[in-house]
Amino acid sequence: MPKFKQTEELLQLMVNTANIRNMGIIAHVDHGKTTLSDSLLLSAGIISPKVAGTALAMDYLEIEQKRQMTVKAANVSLLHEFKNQSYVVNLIDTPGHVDFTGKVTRSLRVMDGAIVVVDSVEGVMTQTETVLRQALEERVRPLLYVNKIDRLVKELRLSPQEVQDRLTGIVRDFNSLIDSFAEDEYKDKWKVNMAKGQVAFGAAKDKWGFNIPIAAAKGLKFADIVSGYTSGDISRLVENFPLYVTILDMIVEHLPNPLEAQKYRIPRIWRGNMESPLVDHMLRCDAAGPLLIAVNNVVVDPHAGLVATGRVFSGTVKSGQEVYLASAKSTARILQVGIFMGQSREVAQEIPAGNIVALLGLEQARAGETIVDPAFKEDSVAFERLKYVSEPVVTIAIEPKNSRELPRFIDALRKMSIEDPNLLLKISEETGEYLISGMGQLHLEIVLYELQEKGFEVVTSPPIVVYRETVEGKAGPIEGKSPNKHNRFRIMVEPLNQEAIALIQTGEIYDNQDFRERAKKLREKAGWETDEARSIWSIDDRLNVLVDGTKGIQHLDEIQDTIIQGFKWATEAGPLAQEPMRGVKVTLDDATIHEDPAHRGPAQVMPATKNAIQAGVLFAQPALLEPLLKLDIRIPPEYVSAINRIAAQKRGRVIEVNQVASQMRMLLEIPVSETFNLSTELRSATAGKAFWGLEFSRWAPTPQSLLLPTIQKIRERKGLPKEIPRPEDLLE
Amino acid sequence: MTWLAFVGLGLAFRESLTNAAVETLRSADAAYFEGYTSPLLGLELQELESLIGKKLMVLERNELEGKGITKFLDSAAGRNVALATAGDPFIATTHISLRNDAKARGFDVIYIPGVSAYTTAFSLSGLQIYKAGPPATIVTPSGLYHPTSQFSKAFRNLAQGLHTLFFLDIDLPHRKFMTFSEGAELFGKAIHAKGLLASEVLGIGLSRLGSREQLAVCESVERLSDLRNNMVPHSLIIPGYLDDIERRALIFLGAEPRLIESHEKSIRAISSKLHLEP
Repeated sequence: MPKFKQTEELLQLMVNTANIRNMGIIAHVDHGKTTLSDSLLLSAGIISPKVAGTALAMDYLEIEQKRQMTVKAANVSLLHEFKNQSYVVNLIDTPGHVDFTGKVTRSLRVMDGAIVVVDSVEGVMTQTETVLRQALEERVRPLLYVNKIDRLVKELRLSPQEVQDRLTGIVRDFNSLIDSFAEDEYKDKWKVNMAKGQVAFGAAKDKWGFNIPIAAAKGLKFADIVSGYTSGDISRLVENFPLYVTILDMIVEHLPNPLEAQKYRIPRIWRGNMESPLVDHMLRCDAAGPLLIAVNNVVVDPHAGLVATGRVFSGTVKSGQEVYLASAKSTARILQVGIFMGQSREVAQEIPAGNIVALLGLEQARAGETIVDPAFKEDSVAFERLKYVSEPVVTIAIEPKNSRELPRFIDALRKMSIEDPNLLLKISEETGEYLISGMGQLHLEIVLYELQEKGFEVVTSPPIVVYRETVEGKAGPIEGKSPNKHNRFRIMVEPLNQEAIALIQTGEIYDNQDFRERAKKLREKAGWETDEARSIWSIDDRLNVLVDGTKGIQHLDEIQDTIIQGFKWATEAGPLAQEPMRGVKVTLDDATIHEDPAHRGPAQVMPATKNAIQAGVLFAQPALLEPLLKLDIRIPPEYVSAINRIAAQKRGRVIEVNQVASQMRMLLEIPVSETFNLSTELRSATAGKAFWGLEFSRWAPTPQSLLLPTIQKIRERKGLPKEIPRPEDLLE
Repeated sequence: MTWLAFVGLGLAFRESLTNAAVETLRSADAAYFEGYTSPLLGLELQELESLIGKKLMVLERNELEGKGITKFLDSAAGRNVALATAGDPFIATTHISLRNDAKARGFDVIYIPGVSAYTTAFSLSGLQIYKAGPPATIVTPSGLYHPTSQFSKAFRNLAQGLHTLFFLDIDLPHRKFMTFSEGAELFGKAIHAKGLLASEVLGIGLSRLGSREQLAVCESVERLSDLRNNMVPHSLIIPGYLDDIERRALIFLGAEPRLIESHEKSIRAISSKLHLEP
C-alpha cells in the first residue's frame, strides 16, 4: 500500500495545478479529526497501519502530543490516484483543540476545502458550528464526514432504520448550519448532498468508511453495518471500504482545485487593494506571476532552524530567492524550498502557485506573515490582518525544577511561542517570573506536557486568570504633564463603541490601514464622524484605539510615535490592577510641546501620555472584565439538575437546554476563574456520562461584589501597593 | 524668609566658576548639584566642597522632575538652599518651571548667572549674536524618536541669513556625547535632501567650550563630519550670511574663501526654495 517513489512524483505533479487539492480536517474536539488524519497519512505510508486507529486508546493529551510529532510538521502532501489520474492532496494541519482557534483561522486561509468531522452519537456541537462558520467566512468549501458510526450500534443499539435516520438527521443539521452561516451565493451551492457522495460515513478507528454512491455500487446496506458490529466481525467492511480511499476520492471529486478556488476566494480573503496588480495574478493562480505566499505555520526544527509553511497564491518560489516579509518589514533570502512528507521535509528546486511549501531561512517569519516579491512590497499588507476569535485568558508562572536548566528551558519556551502565536511568553517586571499565557487551561497543560517530553521537570504556579480593564463612562479632557513640565497633553477617555470593536475583531479595520478606507468603514458601519474616523493614530491588539483630535499643532508629527508608545504603555497595564486594557478609546484633545527636540524626547512624552490616559481611565468609571467560557455539554436527562447545581456554584448561567435524541444538550457560560476543577466535578456529577467542550465566550464585567477583592488579589500577587492609585497621584 | 538660589557654575570648573557662585553655595544651608543635563568640565567635587565648606549633593533627573519637584521644594522649605547647574540654570537647561513653582510656593528666589555655551559659542567663533537665529538641539535619532525639525529650523534661519547654533545631544548618565562630526553628518543628510551639497555649506565645530582647551574649526559640513575630535562636549554652528569682520574671523578658523562663496550661494538656493528673502 505505501508508495515509496512518491516524493519525486509529487514534485512533478505540483506543476499540474488542476490536480491539486489543498484541504484540512476540522472538528469538534474528540470527534475524530486525529484518527481520520492518521487514516489519510496511512495511505501515504507515513505511519504504519498498526498505529492508525489505535490512537484513541490513549489519553487525549498524549494523542495531541503524538499528533504533533507527525502533523506538527504541518501540511503533509499526499498522492492519490482517482479515475486513472494522479492528484496531490495537501493535508493542512489544523489544531486539535478549540483553545487554539486563532490557529484554525490561519490554517483555513491556505486551504480551499475542509472535511468537517462529526461524531455520529454527539452530532453537531458548538465547536462544529464554530469551525464551520470560520471555514465559510474564509470561503472554504466544507464536506461532511460522520464518524464513529460503530457507536450507534454498540452503544445506542440502534436498528438499521434508526441508524439511517440518525445519519440523515446529522446531514440535515449540518446543512442548516450552512444555511445560516454561508454567504447567500453559497447557501445552496455548498450544501452537502448524500446522493452525490459529498458526505462520508464510517469509523476511523476501524479504518473504514463509505458514501452513498460507493455503498450503492458495492451493495452495502445499513443492515450490514449493524450486523457487522453486532457480531463483532467487521472484516468485510474494513477490506472493501478503506476509509482513506473514500475520503480522498471525495476530496478529489468535490473540493475545488486552486485554479477554481482562487477565483472566488481571493476577493474574500485578500484584504488589500483590489486594484493591485498582485490581485490579478492571484485570481489566476499564476505560476509566472510575482511571488506571494501566506504563511500559516512556523516550527523550529532543531537542525534546520525556523521552517515556515504556507500557500503560494501567486508566482513560483525558488531556493535562493530574495523575498520581502510584510509583517516583519524586512527582506530575507529563502535558503531552501521543500514539501512535507510526514516528518521528513523533501527538498525541491521550485514550487509553483497553488501549492503548500516549506521554506527555510526566513528567521523573522511568524505564522500569519505574508511573503512577497520585493518589487511589490507596497501592496503586500493584505494577508496580515487575520481575524481573531479568541484571546489568551489563563496565565501560569513556570520554571524548571533545576535552575541550571533555565537557559535551555527558556530557549525551549521561546521556540514554542514562535510556533504557537497564541502562546505568550513574558517575564514579569515585578517578580522576574517567567509567565506563559494561553487560550485556556488545556492549552497550557499541553505546553507543560511538551516541556516534560523534552525532559524538563517543571514547577508551576496555580493558573492565574487574565483580566481586562476597561471604562464604562467618559472622562476628560485631562491634562498630563511631562516630568520637565514643558510638555502637556490633554486626553479624553471613553468606551470604544461596540460597532467599532466588531470592525476590529473581524479585521475590517486595523492599524496601518489606508486611512480613507478605514474612515469610510467607521463612518458607515460604526457611526463615527468623518474627522474623527480619519484621525486614528493607533489600534492595538486588545481593541484600544488612539485618536488624534488636535488641529495644527506644530512639531506634533515629530512626537507622534512616542505618544503612540505612551498609549501602548498605558493600555498594556491599566491602573486598577495592571491588567491589559480593552475597548478603550483615547483621544488626544490638545497638546503643548516644547520648542526644542531635546526637551520633548520619549522620556518626557511617554510618561506624560501614559499618566494622563491612566488618570482618565480612573475618572471614567473603570471596570474589570473577566473571561467567560462557554460549556457545551451533553448528558442523559437525569443529570440536568446536577449540571444546574454546578452552574449555580460556579457563577454560571444556563443559556440553552435542548433535547437531542435521548440526550440533553446544555449550553452554559461560566467564568474562567471558576473552571479550574470543572472537569473532575462534571465527571463525578454525571457518573462519567457527560460529553462536553469548552471554548472562550466573551469578556464580562466582574460582579460588583467581587470587584474590589479581585483587584486586591491581583495587586497583591503582583507585589503592587495595596491601594489603587488616585488620579492625582498620576497627574502630579 | 528663606531663599532658594539657582546658581550657574559656568562651563569649566577652573575657568568659569564665579565668586558669586562660591559665596552663594557657601552661605546656603544645603547645596545641590544638578548632575544630569550637562557636565562641568574639570570638576573636582571634593575641591569644590572644601571651597564651599559643605557637601554638594548630586541630584538625578527624577529628583528634579515629575514628582521630584514637590519633594525637592518640600525639603528646601524652611532652609536656605542652593541648586547649582553647569552653564547657566535658565539657558537651554530650562529650570524655569522649577523656579515658577518655587515662586508660587513663596520662596525668595536668587539667580546667580553662569557662563553659557550659547554665548561662548558665538564669542569663540567670532560671529555676531545680532545675526543669530533660534538655536536647536540635534537629538540622536532612534527608531522611536527621530526629530528633524531642528534642521528645518536651521534652514529657515539660513534662508534669512541667520546663524544657527546646534546644541548636540548629551546623555550624561551613559556618558554619551554627540560629536560635531556626528551632528554634521546628520545635518549633511538634511542638506542633501534639500538638493544641496554638504561640501558647499559651512559649519563651525566647537569643542570643550569655556575650558582652556576650547577649540573652534570652520570647514565644510562634509569635512566636519570626517573630523575626529574626542574632546567632548561639542557644539556646532551653521553660519548665515557673513559680514567682512565675520568672514575674516572664520578664515582665521580655517575657512577657505572659496568655501565661503559656495556657502553664500547655497544660502541663496535655500532662500529661493523656501520662498524667503534674506
